Amino acid sequence: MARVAVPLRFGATLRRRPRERRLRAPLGVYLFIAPSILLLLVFSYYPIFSAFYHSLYAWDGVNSRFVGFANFAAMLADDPLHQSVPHVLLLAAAAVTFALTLPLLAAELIFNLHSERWRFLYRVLFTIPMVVPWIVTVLVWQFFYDPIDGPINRVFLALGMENFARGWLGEPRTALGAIALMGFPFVAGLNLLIYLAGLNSISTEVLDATKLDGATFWQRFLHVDIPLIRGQIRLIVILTTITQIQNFAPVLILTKGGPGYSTMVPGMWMYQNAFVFGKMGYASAIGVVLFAVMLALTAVNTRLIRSGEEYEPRR
Amino acid sequence: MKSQRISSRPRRLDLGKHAILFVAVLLTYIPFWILLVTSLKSVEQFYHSLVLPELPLQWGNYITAWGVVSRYILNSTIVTLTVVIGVLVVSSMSSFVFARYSFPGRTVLFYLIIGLLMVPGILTLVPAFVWIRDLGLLNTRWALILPGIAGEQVFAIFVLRAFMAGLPEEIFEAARVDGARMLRSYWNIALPLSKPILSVVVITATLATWNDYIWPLIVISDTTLLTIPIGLAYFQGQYQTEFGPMMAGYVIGSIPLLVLFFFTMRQFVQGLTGGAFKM
Repeated sequence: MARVAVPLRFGATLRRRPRERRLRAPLGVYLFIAPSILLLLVFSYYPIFSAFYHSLYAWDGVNSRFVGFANFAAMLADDPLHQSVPHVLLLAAAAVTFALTLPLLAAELIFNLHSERWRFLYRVLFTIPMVVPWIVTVLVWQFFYDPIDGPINRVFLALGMENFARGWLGEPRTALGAIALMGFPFVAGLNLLIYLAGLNSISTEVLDATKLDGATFWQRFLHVDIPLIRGQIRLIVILTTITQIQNFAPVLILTKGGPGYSTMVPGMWMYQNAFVFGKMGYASAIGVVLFAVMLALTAVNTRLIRSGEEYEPRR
Repeated sequence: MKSQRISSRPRRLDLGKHAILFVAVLLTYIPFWILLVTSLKSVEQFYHSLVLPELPLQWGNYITAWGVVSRYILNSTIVTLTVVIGVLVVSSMSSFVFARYSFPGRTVLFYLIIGLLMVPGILTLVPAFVWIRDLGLLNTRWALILPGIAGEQVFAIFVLRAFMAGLPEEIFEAARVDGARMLRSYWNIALPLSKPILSVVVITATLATWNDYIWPLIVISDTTLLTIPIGLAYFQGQYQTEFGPMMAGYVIGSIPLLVLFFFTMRQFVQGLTGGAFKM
């Protein structure tokens, strides 16, 4: 999904220009911002309005009939939707856990290397997978999980552990876990770069002081580095949570929510309601609820992990 | 990049760190290695071994795959280029104005744009589809391009405006004294000075557009217009067990971005580790 919600504190982003800098505005300024605003009104704001509006309607995409809060009430009795909630929570919890451990450890190790050349090389090596199209990674993992020809099962067979081999994505007991583990070891990618950016911005004085105090690697890691990059940590927690809550593309490609409803997630269910069952009003209502959940989680996150600095994360 | 580190000991080899990082690199690249190796195998060779390449290498797989995938690459390139150029034009113009001028409605309009960072794609997926259908844009590239520019410009404006606001006023002042009007200040001063951050915009917009899956899936059903992600998923459906051509297709589909990456590696790694995420 192209767009990802990002938390902001508005006051921090737009400061008034000092008085002497302020210019008499030529009318041209409106011409300069017109394309942006026009595109947003047509392709962003209208769909947002439409989403809230139609969440109160029975809507098949053509005809609509006002039903008040019936769509929201229907969610209370929607069994697949209820089943999907723990799944998405599990996927999000797994993703956050992975994002907070392995790439952070790798970033710390890279940051502490003495050779500049190796630092750059590892950064590049862990950045390349970012530019491999995401779909290729998913499809390769799908191939890895293949029940007959997949490398994972072939390894089990070669080791004589036939009873471990299974259709990883085809069995209700393993499908969700298989989706959660896709992408192991989770080191490569944006998270690592964000951690490195944080570590790089720690002042040299602090690092030298810890060195003079004779702090060990782990002492410094836990008591100096982690507190100083909590802004980045919070950013990653928020981004990962929000991405996981709305991202159903892997599920759509790998299992379509099955077998049964064992990998159903709310986004996937919304998609099915809209594009398989034609219940666009109900799907809009699910979208509205997901939006509310994301806003709430972002607010909670922002409270829980306070950053000492004024600026809010950018993305 | 980092030369300020003071090392008390003359030289350290960091063997333990390298060992762990090496394992991480290995685990990260195993899937890509197997992808590459499998793309050069026939069915029999695939069943013979998994990890090692087998001679003769089956370059024919690439010819088979190219026949299918080339069209998707073309489509993705057209869409991504148009979106990225559109984003650059639109977002740099409005960022410049928001950063350097004060005018009635400035605050409201800016929040109107930036507020969209908080709106997730999933909220608007369904209504946006119906809207695009009602506009008659289904099954056209415009269905990808116009919402693409609209969506990607938000983050672009967010980073660009901050950067342009940080440029020293003296330069603009001097230009004004020399008689430069708004358009000249924008084109001759603001844009050239913003190159580092514009490259970040190019990278993020390219990755997002090239990789988008769900939106193109619902608005494009004409197979001649499919982009890489949907094309590859579709290709996978056609070549169920012929892993060679299938994997060759994945490799070909990965090449354009990899090439772009190797040409922009420095800006890419430094742009993302530097400015954009300092907080």
